[in-house]
Parts: sequence; structure tokens; C-alpha cells
Amino acid sequence: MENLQKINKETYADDVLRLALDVGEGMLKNGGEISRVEDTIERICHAYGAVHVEVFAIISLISASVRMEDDTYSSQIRRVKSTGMNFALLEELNGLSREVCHDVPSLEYFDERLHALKNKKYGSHALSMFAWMLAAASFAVFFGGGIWECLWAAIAGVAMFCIDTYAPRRVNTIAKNVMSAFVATLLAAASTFIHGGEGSVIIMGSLMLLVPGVAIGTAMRDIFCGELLGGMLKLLQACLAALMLAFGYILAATLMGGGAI
Amino acid sequence: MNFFTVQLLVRLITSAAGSCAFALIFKTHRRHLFRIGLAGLITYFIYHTVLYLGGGFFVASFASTLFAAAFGEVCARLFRAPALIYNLTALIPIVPGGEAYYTMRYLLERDMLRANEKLLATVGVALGIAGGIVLVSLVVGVIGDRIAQKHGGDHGGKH
Repeated sequence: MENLQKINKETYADDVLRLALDVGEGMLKNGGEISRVEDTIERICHAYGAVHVEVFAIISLISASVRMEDDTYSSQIRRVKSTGMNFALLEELNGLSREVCHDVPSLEYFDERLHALKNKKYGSHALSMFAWMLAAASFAVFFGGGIWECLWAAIAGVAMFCIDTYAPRRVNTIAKNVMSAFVATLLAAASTFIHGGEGSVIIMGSLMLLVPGVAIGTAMRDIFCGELLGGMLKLLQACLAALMLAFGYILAATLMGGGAI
Repeated sequence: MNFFTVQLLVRLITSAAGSCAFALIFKTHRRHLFRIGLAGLITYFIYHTVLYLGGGFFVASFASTLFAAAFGEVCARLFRAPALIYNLTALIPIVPGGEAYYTMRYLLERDMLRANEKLLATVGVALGIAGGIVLVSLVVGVIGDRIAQKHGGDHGGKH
């Protein structure tokens, strides 16, 4: 993203919309809800003097158009191909949009701040790996596992982190779910084989990292609160993710000798 | 059956730890971690209590989601952060991972009766979570609109 070279009256509408979309796209790419994304883009455009703003967002696309007081018009879209979860960045983008709507600084300042945020590093790989381990291990203990199950679940957590982080970009979330469930089940089978551990809690612990329980909740919320299309897409994605999870588990369990683990 | 068992204590601790772990996975800023752990702990406690008192899976998850979402909205206003950060992480302990696993396992073992039972539990909890989130969203939206009307159309509570 290049910095704005100069503020041109003719391109004012384009620049404002571009910056607003940068913020909105950033939010969408890092876990923000659709209604928040649309709301943010509208607020920013209005703060910079837009008379008429139309925004439409779903999980993979934002389309917006804006008309200024002097009847200049801009229409832009952003295609979002992959989303992750980065709540620190989401929070900062939220804060930036609050600040911009309140103070209405120059577009150059806005651009610089945005640039700085996008280039900032949020948390290390080591911390994330630790977090995945901690999550899987905690829930293995939650479901009644002992120290060995905790350790195996931690290994499963690391494996799932690696799948999530290092899988080639082409591989989407749904495929990653199959692989993660598959690997977790294999590791649980290994634990049962090696020292007769309670394999099921290892799977349950690791599964908590994959089950899209809250995604279903937010999808329903979107549906009931006005975002029918976006909500239904999210719901479909969540249900597919759950099915793929089951597929990965069943595949691994069947390969491990037909019996369940 | 005792209410205060070791199992409850273990689950409370691991709920808090699990919620914090998820917060770290989602790259949440450090300053929210304590509140997130607390939220996860209380959310699971409410879930456990309602189940213990005889409510079904749906009521238990609905009640605990009401708390988690309301807590999330309050924290969001107080600490200027998107409510999503708190909602998602506080609800993690009641996401039906265990029930989902058992559903799959009983399906594999062709034990259709048990699979059905677990499937109902899974769906019940998921619907409870969904219902709780929707209700709190609606209430917050209505309150936000009322406040906006009073102040003449300023910041309707979302920011």
C-alpha cells in the first residue's frame, strides 16, 4: 500500500473511501463482525463529509460507494480471500476509527497511522504455539484427563498449530479442519497404544480448538440482526467446518483399526 | 450429589486457563487476559450450576451465554474494546466439544441411541449459545437506539 502522495480535490472521494475501506478490510480480515465493518466504514466516510454512503459486506467481499457534498463519487470493492483472528489489531483499528471520527485529522495522518498499524508485529509464533498447546492441554484436563493426557494433548496442540500456520495458502480452513482432526485422533491412538491412556479426552481437548461453536452463535446473531446473507454464509461455513471435523476423526479412527478411540 | 467437587474446581481452573489460551491464540492484548479468564470461569460456573439444578443443555448454555455476552458488552464499553474479544473467549468453555466428540464416536460404533442423545446435547448447547448471543445483541441494540435518540443521533453505542 503506497502512501498518499498529495491530497487532490478530484480524488478526495476516492481517497476517503480508500482509507475507510482499508480500515474495514483490516477489521474483516482479522475477525471483526460484518455489522461492525459496515458501521465503521459508514462512520468514517460521514466524518470526512460524505453525504451518502452505501456499504455491503459479506465474509469475502466489501463493496462501498460514497458521494461527497460536491457530488464527487467513488465506488470501490475489496475482495477478502482469507481471514484470521488478530484481536489486538482489531482493537487498534477500532480505536483508530474512533479517533478519526472524533478528530477528523488530515488524510495523510490517517494514512500514516494505518500504515503503521498494518506493519506492526502482533505476538510471536512461539507465543501462539504455546497458546495452542495450553488450550488443548487445559481442555484435556477439563474433560478428566491426567498428566499424560495433558502432555499428549499439548503435542496435538502443537501439531494443529503447525497445520494452521504453515499449511500452504491454497489449503483453506475446511481442509485444515480435516487434517487437524485426523492428526489429533492419530496422536490419541498413539497414546492409547503406547501406554493405554484415555485417548478420548485427548481428542476432546484438541477438538475444542476446532469446533466452531461460537461461529454458529455469531452467524445466528448476524441472521437475526439484519445480515441475512452474510449470516447464512457464515452458518454454512461453520456447519461445514463441523462436518469436516467429524470426517477427519472418522477417517483416522477407521484407519486405526475400525474401532473408535 | 455434592455441588462442590474436585471435578468442578478442576473445570473452573481449566475454563479460565482455556479462555486465556484462546485469547492468546486470537492475539488479544495482554490487558484483557485477566478479565477474559474470569469471564470464562464464571460462564462455566453458571453452566454447571444450571445443569446441576436440573435445567437442560439448552437452558444451561442460554443462561451462561447471557452472562458471557452481557459481561462482554459491559467490558467493551468500559475498556473501549470490541465486545467480540470477550464474547468469543468467555464462551469457549461451554462450546460443545465433548458432546460433539461423543456424537461422532457413537455414530462410528453404530450406537445410534447414544449418538442421538449426544447429538441433541451438542445441538442444544449450540442453539443455547446462539440464542443468548442474539438476545443480548437485540437488547444492546435497543438500548443503543434509545440512547442515540436521547442524545440526538450521536454514536449509537456500537463504537
